[in-house]
Amino acid sequence: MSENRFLTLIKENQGIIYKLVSIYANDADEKKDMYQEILLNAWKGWPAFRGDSKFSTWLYRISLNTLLTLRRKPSRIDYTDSLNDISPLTDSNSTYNDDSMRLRQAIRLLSETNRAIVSMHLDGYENSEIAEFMGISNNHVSVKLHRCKEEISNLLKR
Amino acid sequence: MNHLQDDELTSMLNIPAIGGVHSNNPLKLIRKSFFYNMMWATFFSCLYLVLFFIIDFWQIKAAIIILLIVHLWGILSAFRQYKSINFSISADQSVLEVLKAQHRSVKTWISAHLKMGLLIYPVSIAGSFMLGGAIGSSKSIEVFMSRPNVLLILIVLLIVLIPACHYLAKILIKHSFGKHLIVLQKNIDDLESEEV
Repeated sequence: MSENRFLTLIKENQGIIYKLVSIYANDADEKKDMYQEILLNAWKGWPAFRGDSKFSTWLYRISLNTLLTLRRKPSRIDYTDSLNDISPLTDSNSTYNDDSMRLRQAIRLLSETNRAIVSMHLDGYENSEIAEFMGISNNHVSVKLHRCKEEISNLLKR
Repeated sequence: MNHLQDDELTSMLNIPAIGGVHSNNPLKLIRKSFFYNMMWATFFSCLYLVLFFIIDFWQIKAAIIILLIVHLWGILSAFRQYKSINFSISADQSVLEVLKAQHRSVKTWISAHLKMGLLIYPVSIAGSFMLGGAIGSSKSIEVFMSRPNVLLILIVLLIVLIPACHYLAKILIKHSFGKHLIVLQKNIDDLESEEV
């Protein structure tokens, strides 16, 4: 019963994992590794999920904590400053249009922690929630978001 | 943002597949390394115990006793660390807390590993040198060690090999976890720098 409930909730919320994985993974293999690692951690953490928060919020936290602590293969840590320099990492049944694809690519050029902050912001989380998620102050979140918006805007203009 | 639909990823969504996933969590790898350390230390302790009863040279016996004590201490300390490493990803902690906890655990492991090595290298080098010399010259260790310059050679070997082994261990650790530590530290700094 618990297993079925877990799988149902994951299926309902797997868009969170897809989305986060796609802004952190640099290739299809890494994407698969990250997805598996998140599922594993979610499954292991499932007995401790008490339902105090929404499942989507809980899964978001597990996913971000997993992605930011996962050891990357050396060649995969690659920072660049141009949208043209990174692979689009298209998905088999992608429903992205060009604009959202460019936005996602721009987000992938931000630092790892800023990617998390922007992603949460785009998903409608309040600054106070993002601050609590990340372990930083509200003010710091506002400053970071402001800078990220500028950075993304500059990237999209190029 | 639209949600991606990816059949390959969705196909992984079943409990047997999830349970069989080989985790790449660095702390899990470190925990595994502590387990292997314990196994190897136990294996070598048994080997030293056998040598202790086979070899007649008291100097080697003394070196073996020291090595056994160091190994036992190593096994106990590895066991303590092994038990204390919690690699499950919690949803109750903030990203910054999780990053710091992992960074601290990796650094603690590296420091413990290097310190243990510094205890083992001199005894192993001296013991091997004396045993090799005694067997090679077919003489007792007292006679072998009383030869001119042998003590000097041993001292030079210790001076050269201890830092070399320590440096090699550092390179291997850096190769395994150096980049990961840099990324963790970068993310921690990124979150902690309250630049307004």
